[in-house]
Amino acid sequence: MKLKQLEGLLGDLQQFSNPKVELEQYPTGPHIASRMLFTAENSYGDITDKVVADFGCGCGTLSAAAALLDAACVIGFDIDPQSLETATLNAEELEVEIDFVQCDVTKLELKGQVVGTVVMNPPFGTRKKGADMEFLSAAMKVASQAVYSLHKTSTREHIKRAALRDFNAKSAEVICELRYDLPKLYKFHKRKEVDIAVDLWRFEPRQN
Amino acid sequence: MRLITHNMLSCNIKGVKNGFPLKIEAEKVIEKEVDFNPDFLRHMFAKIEWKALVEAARSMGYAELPEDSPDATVIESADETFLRKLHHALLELHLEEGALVCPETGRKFPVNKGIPNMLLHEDEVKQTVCIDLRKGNEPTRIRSPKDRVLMQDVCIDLSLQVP
Repeated sequence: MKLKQLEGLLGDLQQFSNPKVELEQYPTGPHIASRMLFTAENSYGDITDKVVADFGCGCGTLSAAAALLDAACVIGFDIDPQSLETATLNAEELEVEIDFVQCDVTKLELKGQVVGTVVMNPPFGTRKKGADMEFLSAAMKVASQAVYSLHKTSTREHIKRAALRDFNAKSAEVICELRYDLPKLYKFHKRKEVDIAVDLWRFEPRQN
Repeated sequence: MRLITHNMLSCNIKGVKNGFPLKIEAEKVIEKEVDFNPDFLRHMFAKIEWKALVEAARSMGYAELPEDSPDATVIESADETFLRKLHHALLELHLEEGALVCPETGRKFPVNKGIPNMLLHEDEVKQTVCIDLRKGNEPTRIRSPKDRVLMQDVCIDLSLQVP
């Protein structure tokens, strides 16, 4: 599948109808989502024929991208039942199979080594402090092959240190820097739209 | 929810020692065909909990999987019969309505429209209390992974004793 085609399909997905600010629900735009998964597969072979988990899947944009790039199995995890309903509709619309699990990923302990790759656009920790690190910690425990995650560029040094020292990472690389365009979603947003500098990270866990 | 997902879920209620595998109460099961990928299945076979899969498949009405995990020769052989059964059990059976039950506490995690709800109630969540022996501090609740990391050397998991 070509990048443009993937981006097009992801652009048609339904997004949050009633975003919950305390969960930091922001849609992952088709531009970022397509590039993130396309790179994961084309540069690293981490998606096709692999078991991919999407932590904090929301409406399932990253899950859908993984499925469209022929992951062998995609599982989306999220705490919010309404988002999961939308995610289910999106999967049906695209005619892809995605399993969804309602849970708090930071408290879930997944057994075994079934999951190869974790992809995620986690909360940045603006509402619940440390949420970004909790998600990363959880992902590193689950993935046997690689973790792809988005974090604010301003946290780059902190993330690298934590990943290598505390979260069992063999490597922690910023693949690229992206501009995350956030439209005015919540009442407290003053500007019509704002660009946040985010890093696309690839972490490799140490083998047990 | 397919059985490949079930194979990784366990009960995380505090104090539970053996929350895996979750028993399945199946009320509605549907079958959806997907493409057969023998290489993927061979690769996956080594990673799944076999007994859990056999039991789960049985609860969903599929009893074709052998009780004992087959050895490597069966997997590597060109004969696809076994892999087809594995494929069907792992990827084509969907639990739409029912529940996943903790083998130790009996707690039911409902499954609706194919989505299991694994959210724990407030009193079911593990709390880890850390005591910083170096400074002789009062025991503190961990609030974030960063706190846990700083106290890593002296951390004691008192989850069983915390009320």
